[in-house]
Amino acid sequence: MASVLRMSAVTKRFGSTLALDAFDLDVTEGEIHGFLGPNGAGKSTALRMALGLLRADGGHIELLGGDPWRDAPELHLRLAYVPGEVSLWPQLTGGEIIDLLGRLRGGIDATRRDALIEEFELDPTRRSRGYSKGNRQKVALIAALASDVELLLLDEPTSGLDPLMESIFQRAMRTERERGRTVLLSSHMLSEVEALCDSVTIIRAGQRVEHGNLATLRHLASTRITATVSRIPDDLGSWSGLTDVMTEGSTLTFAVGADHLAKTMERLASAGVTALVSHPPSLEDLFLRQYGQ
Amino acid sequence: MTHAPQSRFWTIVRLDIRLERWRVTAWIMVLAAMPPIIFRSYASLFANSAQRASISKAFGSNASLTVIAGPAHDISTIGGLTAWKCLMFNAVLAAIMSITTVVRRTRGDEEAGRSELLGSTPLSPSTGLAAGVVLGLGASGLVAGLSILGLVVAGSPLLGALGLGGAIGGVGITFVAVSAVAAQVTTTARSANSVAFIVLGVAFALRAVGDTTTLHWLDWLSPLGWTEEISAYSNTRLEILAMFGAASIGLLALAKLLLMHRDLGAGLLIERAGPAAAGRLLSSATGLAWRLDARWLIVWAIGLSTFGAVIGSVTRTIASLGTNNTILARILGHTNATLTDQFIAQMLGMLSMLAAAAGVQAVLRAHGEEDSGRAEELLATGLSRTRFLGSHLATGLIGSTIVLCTSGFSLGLAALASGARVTTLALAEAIGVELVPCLVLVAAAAALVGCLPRCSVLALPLVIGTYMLTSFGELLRLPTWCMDASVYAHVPRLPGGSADTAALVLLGAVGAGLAAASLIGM
Ligand SMILES: Nc1ncnc2c1ncn2[C@@H]1O[C@H](COP(=O)(O)OP(=O)(O)O)[C@@H](O)[C@H]1O
Ligand SMILES: [Mg+2]
Repeated sequence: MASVLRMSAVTKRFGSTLALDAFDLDVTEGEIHGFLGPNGAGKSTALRMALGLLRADGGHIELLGGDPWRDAPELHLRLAYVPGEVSLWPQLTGGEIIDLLGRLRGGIDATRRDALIEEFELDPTRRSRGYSKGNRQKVALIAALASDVELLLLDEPTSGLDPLMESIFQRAMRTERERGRTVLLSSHMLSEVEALCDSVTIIRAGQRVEHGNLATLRHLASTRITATVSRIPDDLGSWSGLTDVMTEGSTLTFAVGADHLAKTMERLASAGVTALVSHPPSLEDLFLRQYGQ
Repeated sequence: MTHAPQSRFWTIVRLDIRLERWRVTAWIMVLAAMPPIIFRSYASLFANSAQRASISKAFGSNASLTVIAGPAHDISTIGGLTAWKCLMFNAVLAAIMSITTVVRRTRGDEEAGRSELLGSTPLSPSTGLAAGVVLGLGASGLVAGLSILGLVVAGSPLLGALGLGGAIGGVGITFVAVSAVAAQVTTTARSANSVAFIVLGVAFALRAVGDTTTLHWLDWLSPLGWTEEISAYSNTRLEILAMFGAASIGLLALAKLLLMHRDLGAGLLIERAGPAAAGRLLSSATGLAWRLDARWLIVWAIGLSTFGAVIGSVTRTIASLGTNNTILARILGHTNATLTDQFIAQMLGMLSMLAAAAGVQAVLRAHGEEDSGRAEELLATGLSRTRFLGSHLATGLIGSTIVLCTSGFSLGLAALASGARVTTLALAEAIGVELVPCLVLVAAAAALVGCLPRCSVLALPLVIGTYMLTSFGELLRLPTWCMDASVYAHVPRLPGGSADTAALVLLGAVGAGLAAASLIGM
């Protein structure tokens, strides 16, 4: 699969703040790529650099086969962006702004625009002065989704949306994937990324700390298991690969990494397991593994 | 495909025009209307040449007016008189039009984050700057064109009209370029405005000193000085207009260079880190308002004090150059006063208006905070709306007082040091008197914010308009009631006149009324 965005060893400083520290990112064509990290980790900075709005202090960025700092206008014809803080012209209505952005991106699909306005329940006749944060985000989002582009860069697009709108957003994202568009979705909400994304990059203090497709990453994380056994094994302490072990009567709770799962199952069987509940690793576990302690 | 980038650029120009249309139209109308109207009123006021000759003798030797208006070139003609009356004033206003418009549409949009949204579309990175500059150039061009047209229709010779209109437009254009650079240097629109206004103040001071001392070459360092060298109505030198073009092209190239080498949202200077915890000041609404505005008020105070000191230091030269002339005194409406007194009174009037503008800006922050939604955070903490506006009004009043006192005393003390005959007491009295209309204007701005928030944009035009009524009303033979609408019509001209306490008390009461109305209206 072709690479749509590749950042290698990108560094960015703001005065004494090191916002990106030899940061890497690979986004492949056709995927929804989750970009996870807590506030201040450098997500917005990375997206702005991918757009060529900020200049790299070091490293290399390739966007849609070009250099975003040098070829920004041509490359921008093929993408749409929703900033983390959407700021609009207070005097213009939401509908006007959607059309303006669409025209600048080389045309807007009018039927899709109207359908999206309907779905997101936006009043396009109100002046944007009176819009809430969520409504401003909807304006930028509708303009992006209704444009005919290959790549969507979305910076925490749901942070101002209510749960109802969020589910509409998720539906829209699935439609985008079916249409073959690539999406880079930054978020600090694990559930959202888990529900939508094919692969994930986790950023922490300007560095990539984890990346890969969701299935592989799950493999790295532990499965949580609750088992009822006929007797608690005496050598439980020496079972390798177990963490967070707790016993309560004949019930045993622990987390185990994928590489030790098979061996542990054998041991549970010989301990006379009578009931077993297993929770697959969630992204949350992945995340906490990076940020915990 | 070849046309697409072009059409996108014009989309942004059209957007800028759409956003600025009312403001810019108002500016253009005022600026283009003034020269022809003044020309016509002089034409009917001084119909015969004997009258003009006596006026010419009176004004030509008066250096105190030279400081404000520049030297009087051949004011024995109607055109010369017109140019002398409105050239400098209109040129400064054209510069203010350019600064506010260009900064709002460049750094203003960038600071708000709108440029980030546009920056992600297929626009070249310099589009925002270029569109703001095109808008500014268009506005100045229209001011020049319409002024020339109006003057010719009013009966001015073509060459003179070209010189006068061209000079005003030329200053407008030069300050479009100055603002374009200022917008690259700083990260906020407010500080970009400050940088450009400081350049304007320096340009004014350079030519004021150049005109009144032997350091005449200083004029050539200032775009405002070039306007005088054109000498529209006698020995016109239109070729000097090229200097505006050359300066603008150089500055615009510099602005583009700075833009291409910087990040979106960044300036030339890296922001310092601030304190991690709130100091003692940040324990009340007034403390917050003061914290937000103190920096700007200090910039105003330092800028105007420097300006006052420069102007004050030439007072003695002015007084010795001028001959006391009764016609002149009558026209200045300031009889029985020495030239030194007249000069100081005029300058204090101007500083009073500028100090009012500083305070009005601080009051307008209340409106800005409400419009941006930040006020909600404060009002949700149990702070009442009255106290919220009150905090900004207090900051504006205190700020204006500080700005006027520091700049007024700088002017007066520099005059004293230069050997002019004024007493500190008379100076203090004069500053005290000028403080009254200044604070009334600040209270009026608060009344607009409190009672008619949608009309808040009129607060600064109100200050400028008030000043214009006083400086041009008599000439235009406006009816008395209209002239009386200006607060400055009711203050005695000090030093040199007599203080009319009753009028001042009345004016103070009006100010208090406006302040009360603003708080109740909120
Ligand atoms: N323009 C800027 N000037 C100074 N520091 C900045 C600027 N933009 C971002 N930073 C800093 O860079 C770091 C990363 O910020 P950001 O990319 O906005 O994080 P995120 O989007 O993940 O919340 C933060 O420490 C932030 O304070
Ligand atoms: Mg962010």
